[in-house]
Amino acid sequence: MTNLTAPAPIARIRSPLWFAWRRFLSNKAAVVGGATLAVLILMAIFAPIITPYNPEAQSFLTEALAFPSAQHWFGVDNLGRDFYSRIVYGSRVSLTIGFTAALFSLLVGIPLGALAGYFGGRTDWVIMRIIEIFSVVPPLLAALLLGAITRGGYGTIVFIAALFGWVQVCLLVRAQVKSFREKEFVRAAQALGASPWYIIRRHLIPNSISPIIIGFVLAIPLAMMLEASLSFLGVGVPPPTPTWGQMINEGIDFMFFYWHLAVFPTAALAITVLATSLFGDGLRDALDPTLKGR
Amino acid sequence: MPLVEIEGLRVSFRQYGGTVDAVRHVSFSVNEGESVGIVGESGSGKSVSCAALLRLLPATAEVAATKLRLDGVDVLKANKEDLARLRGRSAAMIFQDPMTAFDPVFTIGHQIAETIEAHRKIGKREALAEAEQLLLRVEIKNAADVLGYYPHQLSGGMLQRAMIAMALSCRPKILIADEPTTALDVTIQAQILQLIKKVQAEFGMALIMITHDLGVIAETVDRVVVMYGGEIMEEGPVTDIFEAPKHTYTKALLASLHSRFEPSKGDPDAVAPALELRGLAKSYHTRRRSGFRVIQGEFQAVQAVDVVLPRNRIVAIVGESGSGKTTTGLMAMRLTEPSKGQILVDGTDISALDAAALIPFRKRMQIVFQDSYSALDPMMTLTQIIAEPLHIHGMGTQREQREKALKWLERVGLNRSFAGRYPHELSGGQRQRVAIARALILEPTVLVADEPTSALDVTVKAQIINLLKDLQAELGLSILFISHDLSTVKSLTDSVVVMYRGRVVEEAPTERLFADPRHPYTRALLDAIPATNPREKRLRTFLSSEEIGARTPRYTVIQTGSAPSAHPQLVTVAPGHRVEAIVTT
Amino acid sequence: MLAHILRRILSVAFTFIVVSIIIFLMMHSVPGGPFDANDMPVSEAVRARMMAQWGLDQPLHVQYLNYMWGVLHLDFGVPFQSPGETVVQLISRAWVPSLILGGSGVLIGAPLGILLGMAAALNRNSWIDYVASTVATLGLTIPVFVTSMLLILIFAVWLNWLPASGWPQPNRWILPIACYAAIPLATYARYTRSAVLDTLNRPFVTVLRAKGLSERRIIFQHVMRNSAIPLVTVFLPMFIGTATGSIFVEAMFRVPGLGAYFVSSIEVRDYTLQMALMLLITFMYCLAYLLSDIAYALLNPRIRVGGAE
Repeated sequence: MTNLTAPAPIARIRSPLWFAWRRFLSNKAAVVGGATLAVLILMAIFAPIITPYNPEAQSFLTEALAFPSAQHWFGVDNLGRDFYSRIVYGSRVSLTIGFTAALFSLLVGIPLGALAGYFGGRTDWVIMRIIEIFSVVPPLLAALLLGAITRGGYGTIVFIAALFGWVQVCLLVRAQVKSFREKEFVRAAQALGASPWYIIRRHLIPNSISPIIIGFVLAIPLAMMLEASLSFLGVGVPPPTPTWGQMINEGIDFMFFYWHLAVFPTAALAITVLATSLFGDGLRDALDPTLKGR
Repeated sequence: MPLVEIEGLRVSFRQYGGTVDAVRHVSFSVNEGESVGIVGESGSGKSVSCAALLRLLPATAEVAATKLRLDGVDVLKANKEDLARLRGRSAAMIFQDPMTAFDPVFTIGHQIAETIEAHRKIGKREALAEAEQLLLRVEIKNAADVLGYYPHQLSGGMLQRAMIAMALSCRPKILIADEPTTALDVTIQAQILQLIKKVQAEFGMALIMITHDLGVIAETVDRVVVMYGGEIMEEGPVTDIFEAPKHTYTKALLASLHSRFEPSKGDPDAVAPALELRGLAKSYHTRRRSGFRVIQGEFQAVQAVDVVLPRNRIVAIVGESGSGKTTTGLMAMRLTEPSKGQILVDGTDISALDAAALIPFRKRMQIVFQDSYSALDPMMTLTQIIAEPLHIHGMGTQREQREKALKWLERVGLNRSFAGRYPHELSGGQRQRVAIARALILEPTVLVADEPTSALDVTVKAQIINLLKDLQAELGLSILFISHDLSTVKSLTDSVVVMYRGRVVEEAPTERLFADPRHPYTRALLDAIPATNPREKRLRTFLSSEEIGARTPRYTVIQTGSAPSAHPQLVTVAPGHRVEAIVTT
Repeated sequence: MLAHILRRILSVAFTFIVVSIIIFLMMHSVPGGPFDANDMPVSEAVRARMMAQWGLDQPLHVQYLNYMWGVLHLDFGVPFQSPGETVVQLISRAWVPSLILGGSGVLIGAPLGILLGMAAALNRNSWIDYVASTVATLGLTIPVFVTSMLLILIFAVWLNWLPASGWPQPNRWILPIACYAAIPLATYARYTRSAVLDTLNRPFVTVLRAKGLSERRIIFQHVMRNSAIPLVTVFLPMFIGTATGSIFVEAMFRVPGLGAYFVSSIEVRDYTLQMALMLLITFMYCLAYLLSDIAYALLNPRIRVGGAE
């Protein structure tokens, strides 16, 4: 029987995701952002291979505060550590915190958003009140306070970032589930006797992929900014682990005479956060044209 | 010199580097006081042509023409002042959806007055006074109040009247009406059309009526331009087009207007009807806030309706938006929980069954929706969509499911090569075919079709109706056909149930209902059907809702055999013909 | 309308109380409490007397109610780091620089952002559109301390045009104000652009053109008025951005404002001041929430005038 089926013109079959991909590719800023992010991730993974020195070893005390040179691309810091190595290792902290916090945001945000969107009514009301509470507390100030109370640390920062990151994911998923729940193909599946679980699994989740991806990618820069801000204020990841926020804080004291200590971490943070945001914005515009600009 | 002269008009849109032609070689003219209709389906370029005439197209459009003149002005060369004079004063436009055509943050009065002020040196106060006069002329009785209303406070019909008043405010020489009745209820449609004709005569304007509906053309215009795929197919006096169409597309259009009716065979051996609704009602709890008090209320969306769908028949439920017809259909499917009443499928009451017990009945009854776009999961291929019912009920292997889905794809008239496509690659008619295939793949006995053709173009509509008719005969289906459109119903269904404000007001075999309607609302509905022939144009009278209530028929006990009551009740006036009436002694 | 506002006030008040309880509990969940054995080595008797003096020996809910009662009378206690004055005195002294800098930042940034966003929307895909999008993305993604750092490096260190930090002299205000302005500028540029574009795409704009209104009238009366409705909702995020930014701007530029005191109160674990500042900021958020709600209702006739006939 198979030879009877006419050979379908493969090239013409295009899933909605194919179109999203095309839209994404036509957005130059997003592509550049995505590529930069990919390079940064590779740099973080292969940090030991691409850096010549140990980031925490004070091997160059005699050359402390040396300006950039062929041997030390980004110079040497005040404690005699190779600044290039420190910057590269700093990306590890930034990226891992960004990604894990975003992941935890999804873990909390998706189920709560799906619950609120699917069941509506009282469940929705309760979840929305919780979100309202989060929206009147400025995340950074609360994070600062929490960081101070718990005395910082890696896990705490991920926790705080996820604590404020899930709200966005939850709202995105809720909106999507809520609008698709009323769609007629869901009604049609109900009319066929499909269980709620079947509908969520086969219709609502595949159709929520876009907001989930968007929520994930946009939560990353937020978490990275939070980490940098806390580290900058001295309640983030404790030294000697190299983090950009902490380096910027130290750089302030030296910037009048040793500009490299201020410029490189600032630039690294700015480029990473910007690249991730551009990538996320591009994904959002490509996956969901109706969300554009929000 | 003609008022509008268009010659060799070509409009193309820039898209992804290339250009797409929307309109090619379009030429026609309109004289002063003349009524011209442009008919065609969506995407035929009929609206684009007229938007080009007023330079209303977006910047991505490229307009070229050997001649494009309005009221003696070359539109393509017009400067700002010329344009301001052309728009509103030479030509005024009314649009399809009055709900979105007004700026929501300004009052109606302000929006009419600002149009007057833009074209004449006149004070705000005088402009408002004139706006009030205009509202009175479009038969808005409480004109003074309406001036201060915001758009959201008015119904669609009222807004369209206000829109017409606004268009008239600068005494234009030509009125361009772009699908002015499509978004409105049937009875309102007829009123608006008649109003447009009336003000056209009063103000001595020319009229361009853009529509997809030949009935509207037959009612309103002298001359017709038929458009298809961006080009003019045919042009001529309205009677010629209707009586001697030359072009095949025009013939197809007209054929859709005159589809013949063959009653379905029925099944005389059947004991129980395929579906019976007994006293089915739906009420919603409403909570209205008034200051700090919450007023609990009950809104009766549907009041105890009885509908019988005999085996192998097609029964229509007809009514305007808000009449409760869709809710009734959803309740019959147990997609909306009824507040009261029974749903009998082959004699078994399913109104109280739980989800598990319902499953065998779910296989026996299916539904097709109006909006074919949201009826198909955008992330699934057509095969997956059509095979979904088999998937849900775990019938057959994946291979068998796929094979059966492909068969149904062909059965609803689509090529097998469509199997791997996604819904967004299909046209509206094709999507509706897929939805029908999904609904029928389990070979149910009952199909609820909720306005399955209202969003489709006329010729496509006729195809879908024929498909439904054929499948009904082949499968021995019983169809509950929900519609607001009596002309579709006439060509498809065996009997009609008319719903009005949540009640059944009349019920009769189709031919009898059309020949001898008893309830004033049914009459109003029938009267609102546009003529299918320009020679049948006539002046209509319209009833307000109070008048419909007041004219509820009255019968005596002897005539009906029912007990007398001051409240309206359904009484039998002929075999199979029931009407809501007040029974007196 | 009035009822709508009152309902919103009740709802916001409820949120405020919940948040205040959370903050209060958080403060008391610190191991050891304010008088931690490690930080303050004093004898048991002294500790007990201090606890009694501050009312810390009472059950939590009593403490909370006592505290909130004090708050209602503007009595937030005495800051640990500056025992010579009350918290209220400290705040009323410290908020002047914050208000001057932050306020001017918003007053300069927001109108500029609106203008930029409008220009971008009205000239879509032109150079100004790209400039606006870039400015918006940069302003919304780059942390304030990074912006501050760059401005100091460029204008103070390299060009030597302006002093890098300090407070009283007005020429030291320029850089911090520029940093404060970045957030409202970026926020309003982005949202104005999308709001105006959304409005321009709505059918009624075509109707207005077809009526023969001048383009200027269409933009400045109809489009602006409609775009203003979504822009009101931006007020809150912008407010959050500015207030949060104050911490970093004041730390970078060494301005003795509220943000700087917030940071120092965390460093020296000054609980009374922390509580007071958190409550104050939360209260301002609630107020901002309420204001944007009311403005939204006033601008939107659907809410102001109510339902259909």
